[in-house]
Amino acid sequence: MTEAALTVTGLSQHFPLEQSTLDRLRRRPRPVLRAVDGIDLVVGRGETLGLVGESGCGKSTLGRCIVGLYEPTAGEVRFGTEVLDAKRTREQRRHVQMVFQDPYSSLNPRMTVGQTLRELLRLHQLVARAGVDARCRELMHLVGLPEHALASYPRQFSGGQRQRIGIARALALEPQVLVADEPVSALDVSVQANVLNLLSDLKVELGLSMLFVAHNMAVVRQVCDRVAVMYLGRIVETGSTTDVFSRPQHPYTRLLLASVPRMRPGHVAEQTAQGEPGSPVDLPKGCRFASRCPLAFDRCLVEDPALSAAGGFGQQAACHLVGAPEAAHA
Amino acid sequence: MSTPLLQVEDLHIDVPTRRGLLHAVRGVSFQVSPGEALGLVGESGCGKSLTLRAILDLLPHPAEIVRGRVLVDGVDVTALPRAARRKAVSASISMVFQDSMTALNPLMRIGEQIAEAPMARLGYSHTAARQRAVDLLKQVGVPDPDRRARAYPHQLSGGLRQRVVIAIALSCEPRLLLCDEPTTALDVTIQAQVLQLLQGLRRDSDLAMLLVTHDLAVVSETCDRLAVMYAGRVVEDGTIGQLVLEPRHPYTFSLLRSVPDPEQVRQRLLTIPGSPPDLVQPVGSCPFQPRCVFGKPDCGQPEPALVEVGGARHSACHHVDDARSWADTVQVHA
Repeated sequence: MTEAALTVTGLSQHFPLEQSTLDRLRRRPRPVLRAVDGIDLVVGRGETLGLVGESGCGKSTLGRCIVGLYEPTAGEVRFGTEVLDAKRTREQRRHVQMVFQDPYSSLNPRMTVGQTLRELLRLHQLVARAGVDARCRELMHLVGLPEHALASYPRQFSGGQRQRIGIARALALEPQVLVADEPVSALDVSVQANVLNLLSDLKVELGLSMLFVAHNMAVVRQVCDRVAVMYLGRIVETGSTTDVFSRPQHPYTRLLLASVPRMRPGHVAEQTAQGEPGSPVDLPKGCRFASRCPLAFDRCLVEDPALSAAGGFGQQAACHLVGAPEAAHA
Repeated sequence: MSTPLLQVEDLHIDVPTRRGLLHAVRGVSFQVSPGEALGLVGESGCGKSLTLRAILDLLPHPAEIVRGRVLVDGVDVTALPRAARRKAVSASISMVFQDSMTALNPLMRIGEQIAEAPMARLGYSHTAARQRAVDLLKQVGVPDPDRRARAYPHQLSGGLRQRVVIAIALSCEPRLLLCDEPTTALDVTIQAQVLQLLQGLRRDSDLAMLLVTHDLAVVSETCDRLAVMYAGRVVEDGTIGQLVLEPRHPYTFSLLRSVPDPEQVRQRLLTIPGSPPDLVQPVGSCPFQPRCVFGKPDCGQPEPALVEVGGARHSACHHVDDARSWADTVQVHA
């Protein structure tokens, strides 16, 4: 395996919730939302790891913990061999940058693109003062925008262009790792392709490692080398994109893939989920997917399965049925 | 042939803006027969949602219909006075809204919201309407309908709320359901459930559907026919099979190639450069020409009309005949 650019070990992010006065007087334990609950993952150098799951599974929270926007409850994030805490030095912040989902609200509407970029470059002193303008122009070329865009305000751009600005801002600090949180889900289809191609190009050109957070399975298949599937704060399956898509091992992954609408006339989803994801506040004792799983049996209700090797090389799944005879999956 | 349930003829919608009159919809025509499902697809700003809203007389102020007709069961409803129009339309058509959080009244119990229309329109008694609400919740697959009827919208998940919105739409026994991006706000597994519900309703009660969405895959799983809109016009229509397998308009072709396929990795996604034209300005030429990969010098003028291109399908492109070579042209470029 290649050298790790980013390593996440045992990461948890719990949010304590409000509690009524009555419950507090009764000394009930304060409810806790376990958004991310013990996650290990590795993003190899130059690799794109896709993080997929439904809303509320904790994938965005995980992304935010990694860039240091949240202070994790437990676990650590390492960049190479260096541990990154939530309070990071300027130098540490530089290594891991984020592209946000919404290109409308993630840019300051009162600053021109040039001002936004110059502020960053000056603060981090990555280039000499005299070179700042040249670097800004270079960044515009990198993301395929004209130089005069620097003098314009975010509102003057379309959604796709704004997302390019968001990418330019993330790249201004020459990061090694890019965390892209649903970078195309707010964009129109024809524009999505533009941004996806741009990200693929930049990855090769700059040797970036990327954590690509998305709910769209087709998009993930297109851009990622490896995939991690999340369900209620945990990773339930991980492996190379080809393995996970062609030989999914976890029932949840199979369900996710079967639910994706296909552009095949007459195609009907063969299998749909029963029910909806549970709540990250009130987690079940056994497997978190058991209540929706078509294959669940006694053991699933009492014992929480751990990730174990299954399927292709490096592929892992957290399911009691993994490793069981193939017939059990049918 | 039976009268179409819904006919939209040469619909024009203008929206006054500070920059001038925005010609958002510029002559859209289509029809939906009983039991048929038509998908209306396009990017944001192409006029698909306005078209849908115009049918129900729900155009947001200050947009208005400046030309064209909407016929329901052969009756021109646009010529009727407002109250009569709403009555005529709502007798057979109802709408499923996109955002279930804003479509529902947050202060009203779900059962009452569903019961409202049957009481007002079909003359149900309070008790009968309550019972109908519970039945409808059951029909759309809400578990424990008796208890859920007493719940408030915020107590339900997004998937369940969307089912409630569908139940409200079904409450007056419509023959045509207008759906505005019914699954866009939902997760994939829940989306699959809702799509299956809609398909089931069509199968069981011969419901016709007009589905507006930007997601080609959703349309191809739910609809029989497809109309692709661009810059306020329909640029191509036909059956799903025809359009997905053999698109005859470069826009449809490019759209299909620009979406990633969950079943295989594409070398590279086809991108559509540029952005749609500004519809405040008059459109004199092919509106897609500046973004078209297959554009030719003679493509510009006049704006191509939607003409039949064989097999009950239509396309608005000057070079429809080249359609067979498009796939090769793209290969050469890539």
